Amino acid sequence: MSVANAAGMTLPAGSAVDPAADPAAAHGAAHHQDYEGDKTGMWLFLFTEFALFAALFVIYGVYRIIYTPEFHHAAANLNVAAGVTNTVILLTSSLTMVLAVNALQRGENRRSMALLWATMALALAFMVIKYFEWGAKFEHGLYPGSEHLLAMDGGEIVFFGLYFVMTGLHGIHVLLGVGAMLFLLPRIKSGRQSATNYTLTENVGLYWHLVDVIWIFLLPLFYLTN
Amino acid sequence: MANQANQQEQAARPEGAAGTASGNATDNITGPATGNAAAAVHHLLPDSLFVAVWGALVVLTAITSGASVWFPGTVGHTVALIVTPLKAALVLTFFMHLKYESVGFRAMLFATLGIVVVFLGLTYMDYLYR
Amino acid sequence: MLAVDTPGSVRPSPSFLQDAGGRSGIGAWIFSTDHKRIGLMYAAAMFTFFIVGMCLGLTMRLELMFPGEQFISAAAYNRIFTLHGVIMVFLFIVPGIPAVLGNFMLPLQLGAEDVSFPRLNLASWWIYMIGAAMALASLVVAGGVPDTGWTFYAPYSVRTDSSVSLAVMAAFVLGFSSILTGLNFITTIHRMRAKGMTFFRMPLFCWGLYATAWIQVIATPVVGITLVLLMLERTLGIGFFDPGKGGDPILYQHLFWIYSHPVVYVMILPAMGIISEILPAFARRTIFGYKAIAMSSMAIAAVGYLVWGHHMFTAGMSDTARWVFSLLTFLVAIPTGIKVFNWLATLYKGSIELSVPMLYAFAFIFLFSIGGLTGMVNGALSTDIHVHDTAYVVGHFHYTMFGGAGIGFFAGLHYWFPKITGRMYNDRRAKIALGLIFVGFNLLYFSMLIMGILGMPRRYADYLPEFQPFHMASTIGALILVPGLLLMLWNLLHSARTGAPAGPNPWRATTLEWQTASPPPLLNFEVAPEVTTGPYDFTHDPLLQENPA
Ligand SMILES: [Cu+2]
Repeated sequence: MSVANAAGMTLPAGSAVDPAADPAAAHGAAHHQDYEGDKTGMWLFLFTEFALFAALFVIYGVYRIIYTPEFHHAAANLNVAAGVTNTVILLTSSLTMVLAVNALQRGENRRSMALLWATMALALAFMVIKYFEWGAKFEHGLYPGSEHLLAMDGGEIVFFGLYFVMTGLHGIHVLLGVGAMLFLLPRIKSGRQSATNYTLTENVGLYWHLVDVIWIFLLPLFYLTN
Repeated sequence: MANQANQQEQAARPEGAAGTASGNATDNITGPATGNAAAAVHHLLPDSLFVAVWGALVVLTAITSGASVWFPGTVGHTVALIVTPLKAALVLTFFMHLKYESVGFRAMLFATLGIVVVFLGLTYMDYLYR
Repeated sequence: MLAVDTPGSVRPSPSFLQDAGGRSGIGAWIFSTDHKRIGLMYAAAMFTFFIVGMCLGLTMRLELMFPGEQFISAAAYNRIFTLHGVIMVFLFIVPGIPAVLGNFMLPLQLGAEDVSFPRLNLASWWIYMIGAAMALASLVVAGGVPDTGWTFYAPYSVRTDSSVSLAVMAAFVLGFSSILTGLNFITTIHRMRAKGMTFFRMPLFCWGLYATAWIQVIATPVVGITLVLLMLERTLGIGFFDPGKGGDPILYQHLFWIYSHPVVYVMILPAMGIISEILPAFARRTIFGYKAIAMSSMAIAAVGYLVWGHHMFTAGMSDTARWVFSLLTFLVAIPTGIKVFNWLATLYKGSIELSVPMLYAFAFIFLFSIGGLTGMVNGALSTDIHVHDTAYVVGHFHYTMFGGAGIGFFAGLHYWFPKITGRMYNDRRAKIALGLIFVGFNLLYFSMLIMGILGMPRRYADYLPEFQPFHMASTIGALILVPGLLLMLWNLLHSARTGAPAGPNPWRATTLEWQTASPPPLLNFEVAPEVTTGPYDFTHDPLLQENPA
């Protein structure tokens, strides 16, 4: 490979006092400027999340065709109203999130923070509804490995197993998203995230929308199946 | 003096690398893009667009849940099969900005979704024909 | 022509081995975000595990030298082959080439200072070490080493008392490390290429890593969640893989192989990339069919997602699935064949230099070809019924993964050793080691192919007396192979301290990593390189111009 000497000058990056030799400084500065790179990395991470849930969708798909009637029967035990309410809540939280990113990009940090708080409040509402929904199932003796559940048909055991695993894993993602927002808030407040440097906020937003997209699929798979 | 010049050289380097990487649009699948956030020409979209998308999402949710409650069975399932991917596409296109990203991101997403379809399809080769 | 190495005009930067970027002591290594140091830390960890895995393998071979029980019980034998598999697969050969040589060489070959996310890279190493610690902890915790085989097949893995939960958690954590490395590499390749380096001017090792990284990012989560489900099955009794609760154990196999077939390409694609670097360097001519090799890497990665069912021909899949998977499996032979024929065409009319890396590359082509061809027998539905779960499969697997990925790894180590350490290794010792490895390897694993065809099952601690000659030959092979491997590793370690200085480009190779000092300075290049031609352009090679071939 022929190499042209780009700058025409070679200088030593040498002595211990030279700040350029500090990798933390040099690398940190270098890499955090690559906006497209950070976004590429984030999207790749989202793809791994897609693949993670895809494996569960495959399991669901297989058992749904094996146990079609059992799935319909078992799904009747789920609370459609709770599922639809939670969908609307999560969709709204996605809206507040995207508006928060938009506000930051316009330089309105305070508005951005307020919208993030709103997003977290909606996430909390989602989790509270989820809590009561799961709680009701537990009260009826419906939880993984329970006697009541094990007395049911195989297809129904699998349905509820999938229900708890998939909504549970999704719930973990909701909590992780809230954690990411809590991590973000002080950075917006101090101005480290701003109209000129908003990569982190945008990436948290992307993550939150992914959580939303997953739920969009969970709604018909579980609540709208009967 | 020498060190100073060197620092500049090092500071300039990553941008140079990023700039050329993206300069070759046919070759780089993240497409033409600017080097850093400060220089990025970002599509600042009006809030009203997002509110409209949210409205559409809520309406679609109402349609699909209504269909499954009042027309359970084939109709409900068919509506869900059409509406659900549509909702996901709306979120991906507008909330996740895919519409305004370079074609590379979409290509990577479709590749990923294609592989997921393959997973399900080939597993069904087994279970549908047992 | 060269960006560096112009004595007199420049005082060279200290190498990355001297310049820890202000950190000192052990922190200069375990907290370093320098991709080169991280690569070496992976190497240190991995070769430790490799030696452990090798000793376990040798133990099995010694036990099998004679029929009947020699010195380990059948139950202990189950645990040993599981641990051998888990260590060699999850701790050595899957992360091996990308984490060690990929980390070290990818930014150098691209002309970058580091990977896109250096701190994430360090995090990957830490996660890898945590996963490794968990895997080794399964040795001592209650229940002891898993006895399921490295595949953790349900339903046995759900029922056994051995510490399967810990081991699958370890595999999950290691998978996470692998995902982060892949994510880092894809971003690096998209964003950090030198000025003028288009995708089709990238060295082929980078293409191999690129295809690999896509498998790591998309396939690994599938096995991750599957192993988590296995654990939930054990702890909560979810029932996905338990027929008594409506589940289907074959679905576990599907999900496991959805990842674990593509992952054999995580092992082999970077090794193929290494071979594509070595052949042009020592044939002194450009690679034949550059684009075909680059694209065949992507094609192998893509087709690799379609064929997992060939591991399950006797598991009870539908007939339709069986013949479809068998058909699709044969498709893999096309891109693989493209590579091998292009390699051979590269050698044609080249001025071949039989250096150590070149000899390792030839060993790779020979052994991997046997591995690939014996794989056809497994991929064909009818013949697989006969050889399924026999020693034949073990032989085939080791020809591809050890003879392919492993020998490719060693070839890369010998090729880039002067760049990494700045020193040359002892040539004679390296060749003797290769001779021992080559002879021992074939004796060890070809015997397995034969006895497998004759009906020797795999994973058995005992056997009928008629198989004894083959087992004896196989064990003798192991006793030749192991000293060869130890000699090779010792030669490299010893030469890292005592070898003669190598200079920046001892092989007169053309890719960018050879345009900087050996070992490279902390930020890799004194001046950001700029690329104007393809990666294997020997038209300016001084020796070739003196006597044109
Ligand atoms: Cu396979």
